[in-house]
Amino acid sequence: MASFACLQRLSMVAPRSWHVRWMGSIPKRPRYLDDHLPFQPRKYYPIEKVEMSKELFKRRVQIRTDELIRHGREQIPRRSDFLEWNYDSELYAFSVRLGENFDDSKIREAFVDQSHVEMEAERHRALEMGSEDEFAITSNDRLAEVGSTFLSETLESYVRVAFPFWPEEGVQALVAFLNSNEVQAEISFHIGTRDLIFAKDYPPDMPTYAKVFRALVGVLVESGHEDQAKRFIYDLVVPQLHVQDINEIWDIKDPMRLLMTILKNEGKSEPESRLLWVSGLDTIMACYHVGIYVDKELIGQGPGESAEIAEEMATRDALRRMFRSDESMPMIPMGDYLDPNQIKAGPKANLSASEWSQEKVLKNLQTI
Amino acid sequence: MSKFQRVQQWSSLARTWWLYDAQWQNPFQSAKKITRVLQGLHKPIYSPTMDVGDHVVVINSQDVALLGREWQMRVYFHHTGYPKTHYKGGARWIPAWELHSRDPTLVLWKACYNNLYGDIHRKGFMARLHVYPNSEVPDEILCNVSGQIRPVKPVPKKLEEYSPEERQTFPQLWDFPESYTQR
Repeated sequence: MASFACLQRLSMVAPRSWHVRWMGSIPKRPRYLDDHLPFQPRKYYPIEKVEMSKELFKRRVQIRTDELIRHGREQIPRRSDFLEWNYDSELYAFSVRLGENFDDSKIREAFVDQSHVEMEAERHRALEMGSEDEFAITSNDRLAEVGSTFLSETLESYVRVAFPFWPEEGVQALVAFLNSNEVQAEISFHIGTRDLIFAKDYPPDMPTYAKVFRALVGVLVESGHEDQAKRFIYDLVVPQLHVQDINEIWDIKDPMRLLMTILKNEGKSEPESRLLWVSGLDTIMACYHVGIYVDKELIGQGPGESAEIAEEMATRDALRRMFRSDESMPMIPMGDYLDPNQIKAGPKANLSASEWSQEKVLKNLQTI
Repeated sequence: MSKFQRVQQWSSLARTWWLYDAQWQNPFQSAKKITRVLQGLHKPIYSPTMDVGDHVVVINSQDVALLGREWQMRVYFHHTGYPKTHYKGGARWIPAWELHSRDPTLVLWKACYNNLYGDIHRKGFMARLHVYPNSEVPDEILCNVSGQIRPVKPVPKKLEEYSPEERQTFPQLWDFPESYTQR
């Protein structure tokens, strides 16, 4: 073609510094770097741009499929629908992965949800397959209850030993957080129970996950391995405390009233809140720093965008210093730093918030 | 984000207002300190990509002190924009004493401006510099101030500011006759 020939001639004449891409132009990236690739990129775009456009396309597809799944128009296929699915091998791999010897009959019971039992019963009735007495699949309700009580006991004793300066209300709040459906469902999902659970919906919903986790604990308890069950809880459930600030998990409704009660129990005078300094008073980025003084001694300080917020944060700071859960607190015992022998079952309940005082707590610690 | 983290972030990123007393200070050495605070270089969270500068309120800029004969010899250049031949035209070289008499805040303002790097952020930093010739500062600015930058040189006390007891007890090297000192 005459036009192509003169284009070629132009490319030989035109210097490479002109930002022009021709069909026959030499790419800036040396060829030996790309020769091994399964496909050769187009010669007139640098390889980084091709990879970037592929990545962007993948992300667009991902967003579209996520939306379809959210609106229910597309379903996530079950792993068991695909080839090479062997439930027994999967169960074995599950127990080896966690390093636990689960009792074979009980572990199968632990993964069966009540919704699945009802679904199977319906199917049997529809197909009129024999009498209902012969139909024998048990759900994990019983195991979940056993596991749930054991979880509450171990977690309570752990929290009382790990946070001896905390009042009982805080202890209960932490235990409720660790026993909650959200936390246990997340643990259950991440240890790989999604494809092992028998339930009506796929993927299973949050309460189902949590129940399966409690049932697994129940399996360990019923097989007589209580120490193993405790280790299981200390390894999987306790590290969830690391997720957020423990002072947030126990939400104190009226910090000033609690502080006044504690100071009265200790026999000290009433707290006095003073403005330490304020910067940019007239601006939108005003920052107040308030301190709480007791007998002319500073026990807590806090910043805030208004004087009221700063005062509230100062009282919360004073409380967390008293309960030894401030920023300089020692590490929460976990993993290698947690000795199960130190946590004896059934320690005495911590002091309640209305009777809390530092001397009493120290006295209790000395007696232990 | 927990409650404590939220207020901690607010307190780290809030802008502080500083006061600087330029009484009898060298404006160019003061500019080094002031521009450091305006840019935010005094903060551990400083980054050139993020504007973390603070406000500085300078008072007594009319009492600023230049070295030696700088009041006469230092000139400030500007061009009127008109050509030389025009009656308002040409360049102007104004000595520091004349500039100071026209606007007593300019010497220190220009010292800070010329101390900053001439990039796009300079106007933003200078917008946070509030210079006043004497100690009369509007209330809405003064109520924001929460700290003071130490002056470059300590301000000496005038003789009138010493009390008569201090003057009498001050050690003397030799006795002067009554007629020597004049009051």
